[in-house]
Amino acid sequence: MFHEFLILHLASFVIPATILAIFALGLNLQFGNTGVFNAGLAGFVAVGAYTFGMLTTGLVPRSDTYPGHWGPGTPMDLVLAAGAAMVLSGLLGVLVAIPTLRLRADYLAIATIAFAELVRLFLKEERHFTGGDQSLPLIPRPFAGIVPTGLGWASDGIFILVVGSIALGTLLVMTRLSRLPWGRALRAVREDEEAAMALGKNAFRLKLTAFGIGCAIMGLGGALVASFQRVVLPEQFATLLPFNVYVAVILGGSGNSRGVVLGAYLFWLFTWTTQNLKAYIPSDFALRIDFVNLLAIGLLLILFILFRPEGIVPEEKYVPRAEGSPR
Amino acid sequence: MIEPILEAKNVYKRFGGIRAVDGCSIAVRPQTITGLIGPNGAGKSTLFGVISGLYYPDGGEVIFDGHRLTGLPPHDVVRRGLIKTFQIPRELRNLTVLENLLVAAPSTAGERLTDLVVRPFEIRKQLRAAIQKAESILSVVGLRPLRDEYAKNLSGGQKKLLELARALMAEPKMVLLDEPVAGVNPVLAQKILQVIEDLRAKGLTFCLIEHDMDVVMKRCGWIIVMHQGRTLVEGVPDEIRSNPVVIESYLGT
Repeated sequence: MFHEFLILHLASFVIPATILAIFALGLNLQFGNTGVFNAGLAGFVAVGAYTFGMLTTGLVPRSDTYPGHWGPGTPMDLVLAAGAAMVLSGLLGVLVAIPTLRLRADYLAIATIAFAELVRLFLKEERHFTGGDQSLPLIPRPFAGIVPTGLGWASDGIFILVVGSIALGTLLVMTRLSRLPWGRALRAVREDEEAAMALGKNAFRLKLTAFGIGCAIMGLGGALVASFQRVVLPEQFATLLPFNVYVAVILGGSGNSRGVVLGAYLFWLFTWTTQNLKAYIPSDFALRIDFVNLLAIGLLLILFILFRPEGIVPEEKYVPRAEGSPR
Repeated sequence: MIEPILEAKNVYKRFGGIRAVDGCSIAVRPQTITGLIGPNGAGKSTLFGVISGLYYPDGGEVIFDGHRLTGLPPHDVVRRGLIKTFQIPRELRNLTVLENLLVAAPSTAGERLTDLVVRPFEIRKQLRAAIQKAESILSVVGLRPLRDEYAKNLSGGQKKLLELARALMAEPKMVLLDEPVAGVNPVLAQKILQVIEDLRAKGLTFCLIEHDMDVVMKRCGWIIVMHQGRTLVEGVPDEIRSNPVVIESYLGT
């Protein structure tokens, strides 16, 4: 059955890449447009993933061997749960941002990493509430009623369409937002916060809003991760995740929504290819290929920062066509 | 006696142990160009910072156009019609010249996300109007040909012009200029000063910090001399020029 093989293989590339693209879109609003260095991305993704997982499985604590987790009792609609994941991640983002956004970039990075660790440890240790290290299983995928879970390829195929349209929608919204005067104000804050304030911009509110929306998008991406994997573990939201997303944003073109999506796909193409190569190369080398992959990405990142800091697709230049007629 | 448009009363601002502004009071009358002079470290720029809301004062108050500004954040001060330019130009580097002006446009639709719901059809219209206004200001200061250039690529003098153009875009009643012509070639400097004079004639008020005494004596209708964080003397240019205290502490012989 060739089409099954093809779809399963395609899904293993497209779905993680597209989810990475959604993270990159969220981060691009914070880092690319506003210049806010959020290093705690994994925390907001984890909140989204667990919110979605706990709301859609609806389990309650059951036994001593498997602690279970707290859910609403009955599984919630997937769209509502994803919405709740976005809202909760976004609100947490705002709450984290209020005391920390006044900090300088490096301190903000430390504070947000601390937040992500706090979330991870909470998910890990509060086993009665989240399931802890024993995972949160049986998270549903969309259209599970139409496509039996046994048919992996069909379920994956549907998921490609779902995640693809969500990513496309996010891309369109982000592009629209960054072209608004609001987006220009964000870039003004990124370039020079004090000057933007002296020109009448409420820099703090702008940063707060952008941070909250960015975190909500990360929460949405987290919900998709949970649904795609059908199981989540606290450990998968460790500190490596933000590194990947930053690479995607910087390679693709910080500040350009389409650029960061491209960056996410290129990044994942590279990682996915090296993963798939493992089957075809001597096993001695296959063990090391993950490290080679990391080394190569690190090198690529350094080269880009040195020689092409604007990324593959640079930020759009705003040039209204004729006199007084905006695009 | 005309009511002053701007009054700073007994302002204090300390940085660590340094009393940058130490009980300073100034008053600026509307539709004048008032010069603020004094030796380096006299507290002129700090006073501007306090007035424009960038620094929170340790004491005293600032009244502008009948409103108390003390302690307001900078963006609220700008909305009241008082804007400040920076001594060292603070251009938004990776934005174009046009965008630098558009950022300063007051309350354009689309600057709040709620506008997408509340007034979605205003966004395009107001943006078009803002672009037209920005273009006419750029023409006045002679930056029109550089409209779509990134601000970081401008020369030092052009960046000074951009500072002024940006301030005008905010539709202020009064502009605080921190050394608007320092380091600018004489021809361009005269042009900037002419623009300022023309705008004053149209009703704007300016207060400027300047070290070039020729400029100050020729262009300012009223001069305030600051020394060690306080007002030393003030008066019309001729009084200042002949004041022995000023000559001793600042002008020299």
